[in-house]
Amino acid sequence: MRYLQKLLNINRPHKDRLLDFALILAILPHIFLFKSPMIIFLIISAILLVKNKTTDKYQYFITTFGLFAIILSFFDNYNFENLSKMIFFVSLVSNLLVYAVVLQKFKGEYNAYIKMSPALLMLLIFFYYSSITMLIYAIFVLFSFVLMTVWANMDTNLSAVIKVTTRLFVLALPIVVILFIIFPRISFQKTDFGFKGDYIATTGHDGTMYLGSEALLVPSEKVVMEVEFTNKIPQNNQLYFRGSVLYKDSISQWQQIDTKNLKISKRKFEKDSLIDYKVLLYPSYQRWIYLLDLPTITPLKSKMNYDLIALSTKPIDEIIRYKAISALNYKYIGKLKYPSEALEVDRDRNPRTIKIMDKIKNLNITDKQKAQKILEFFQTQKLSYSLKPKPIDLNNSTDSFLFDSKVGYCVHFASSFAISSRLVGIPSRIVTGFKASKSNMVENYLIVRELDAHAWVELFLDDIGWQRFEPTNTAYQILSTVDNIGDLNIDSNSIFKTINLNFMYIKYLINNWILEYNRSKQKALLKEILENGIFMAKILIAIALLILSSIALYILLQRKKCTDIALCTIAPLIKKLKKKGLVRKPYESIEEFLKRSNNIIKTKKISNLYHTIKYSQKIDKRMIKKLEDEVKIKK
Amino acid sequence: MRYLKIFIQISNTIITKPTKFFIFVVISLFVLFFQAYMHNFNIVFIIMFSIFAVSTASSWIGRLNLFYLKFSFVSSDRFFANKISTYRILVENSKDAISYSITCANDTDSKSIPILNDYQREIISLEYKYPKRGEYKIPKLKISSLFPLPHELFYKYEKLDNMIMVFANPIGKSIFSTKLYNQNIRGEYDDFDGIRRFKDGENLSLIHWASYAKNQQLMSKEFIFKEQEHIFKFDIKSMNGDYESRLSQLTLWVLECEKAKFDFTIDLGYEILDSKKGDIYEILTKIAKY
Repeated sequence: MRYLQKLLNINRPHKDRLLDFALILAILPHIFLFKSPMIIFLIISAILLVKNKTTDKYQYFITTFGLFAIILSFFDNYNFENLSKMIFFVSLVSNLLVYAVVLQKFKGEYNAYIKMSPALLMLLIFFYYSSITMLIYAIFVLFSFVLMTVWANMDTNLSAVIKVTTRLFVLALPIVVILFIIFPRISFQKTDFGFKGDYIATTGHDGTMYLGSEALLVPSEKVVMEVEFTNKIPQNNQLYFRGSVLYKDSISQWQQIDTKNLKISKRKFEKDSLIDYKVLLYPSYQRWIYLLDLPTITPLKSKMNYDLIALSTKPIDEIIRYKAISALNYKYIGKLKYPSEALEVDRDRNPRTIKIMDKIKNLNITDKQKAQKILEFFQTQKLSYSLKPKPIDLNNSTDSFLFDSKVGYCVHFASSFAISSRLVGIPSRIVTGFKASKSNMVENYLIVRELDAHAWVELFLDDIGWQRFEPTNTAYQILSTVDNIGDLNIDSNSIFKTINLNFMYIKYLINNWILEYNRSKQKALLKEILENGIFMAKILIAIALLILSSIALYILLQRKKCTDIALCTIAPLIKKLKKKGLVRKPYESIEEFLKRSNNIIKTKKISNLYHTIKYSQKIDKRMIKKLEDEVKIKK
Repeated sequence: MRYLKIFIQISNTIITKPTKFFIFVVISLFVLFFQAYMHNFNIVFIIMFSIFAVSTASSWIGRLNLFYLKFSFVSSDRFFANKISTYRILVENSKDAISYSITCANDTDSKSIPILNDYQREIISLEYKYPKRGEYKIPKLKISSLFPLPHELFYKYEKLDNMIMVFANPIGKSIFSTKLYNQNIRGEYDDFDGIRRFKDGENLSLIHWASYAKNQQLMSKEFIFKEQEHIFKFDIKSMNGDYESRLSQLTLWVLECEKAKFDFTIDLGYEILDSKKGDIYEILTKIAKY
């Protein structure tokens, strides 16, 4: 705190030092993009400059070294293909610019070129980054640049300059907001170049479900997607996002099959159960477009297959956004079909399960009741849920899980249930994807993470079609989990998690409304404003409030900190007297002024209290309170 | 309504002029605009809007920085034609916020005030040169500032109604080198006689500061002289040269007599000025107005 105070009290440095600081701020983000030769060049240059070794000898050394650093940095890129890429030029320019800045620093010249360099470097960096971090950094840099420019004109300490700069930004805020909303945009798509390092591939499932040692999960907190529900929010047990559908049991794993020849069955949806939502999907380098069970429309640039899985036309290598509608209650209609693989089962494996399932098969009940019987059987086996299951016999995986190890997680439950269903004659398939939890929800915003990856089963029931079953819910106890498996979900809502979730929500809102704001959003917003009177009123009130708060904050920042407690306590009275036409003269003491004002308000007591407080050795809170009360009465 | 009135008043009073940094701002906005439009970079849009908005906000803060400054004339040294002299201006910040980086200037001189706290007053001295004798208005003051951002220069003109008497240029032969000079004549300050209104051009050491503190009016201390026996007698008609050079000569002699505490009379033809009857300021004024 003392150091901060000291920092805030520092006086205006020389203009060259301010420029140096601006240069450091502008070069900093470039360092993350530079290749190692250039970074080494910068480090060595910085050391030499700090040590003030800038003689001719060092200048020659730095000039040569810098040239080599640039040549080495771009050594792999000297070909015709790269010459057609804008990013190559931008990168080359930024390297050359930094090189030139360093040389100028060694020469000790502060010319117009070096003065403009911070702005040029910042301009170049925008070609690389378009993340929230960059947004925050860019605003910080702009604030710092403005601060330094103001400081160059103000011979005062840092604290006062910060106040002035903050006041500038506070007044500027409403203008920025209004311009951001209404400034006309054209819908150019972002070019493919740009820094992609902000988003690394995330995946919770890869289209194959492993039962062996590969199945051991390393639960990650990485966000797979962010969902915003626009009309209503589904229940916790309805947050299933479809990824891939697996039919083929290949002993140690379940795989997808080709269902191109099968047409999507017609479905009927209950209107009330339709859910509108928007998804922000992070790059997975796969093609799955995750949709809430059961999707009704296909998002843009994707195709829906028989399994009601939406697949993107190209791998998802950057953040994408899509709108979707899903139905929570649905019914298949018309002629229903299923692939033959949905009934494939190897009767030479899992003899103990076959024995039990044959008994269920022979019962004279519907398929739905049989499925229920299987679930009841699972429950009687007292299976435990654990993300660290014991190894199982892959040749007899169902037997091994249901009768021997009795410990597993969603994949073991799903696999065993799918096989059991096929053994009783019900076509089955495993759906992998994500089962989100409401504990990861703020308002209507939901985060889906890698650790939400899940597998469940769908059974093909006569006259009904494919229906979802959650065999993991049959677990008797939980040994270790991070999954959101329906009723077994453990509430781990710590403060940290809540803070993190809220942070993610803010980040999502910034992404959604700031970084991804485009022509279509602008048009939609303006249309809504023009068509919806209440919305227009809300927007106008919001803007008015923003302007008023900016002005209020500006005035607040302008107000001086009270250093004289006695004077500050009687300030309201002085203000009141001023309104009545009695103004304190600059040379007038408080005593004289209060004496003069005695004709309007009796101020003798106030004067006594004021002087007692003013000239007492220590602060007497009781006296201050008394003075405050007196001033209040006079007011 | 009141605020609208102030707003219009501020707009009318404070004049702005773009500086070379304004070109830099315009170019920045232009480049950012193209960069933002090329790729719909919202970060660039935000920076572009921020630069525009901060520049606009700066315009208003800059105007407010100067608007509430009040100026009044305090005093001046003696002004002589074609000679640089100094006058003093009281600058008062009449708002409850600090004003920064103020420059007050006339045609020949400028003074900077880095900070002027809320309701603070500061006296600045400015030099000026009037080419001819006579009574003149105080030169128009130009108050300017580049605060907070230097892309715009804010300035306003302050016209003060106070008059300054510019005496004739004191040039010619010294009284000590003429026959008129007599080694025996002397006069010196004796007892304090009282106070009277301060006259422009008087010695600042004569100011009675206690009166200024009390009534905000400059008063001068008056003394009784002793041993004033000899009187110089100047006659404008009997002097050589044109009238301007005669007046310059007279002014020089008056100043020398004042310094040496000699009494004198000046015959202007239509009026006789007596140093015993009128003070030096009045005598110099009458010569200046001749």
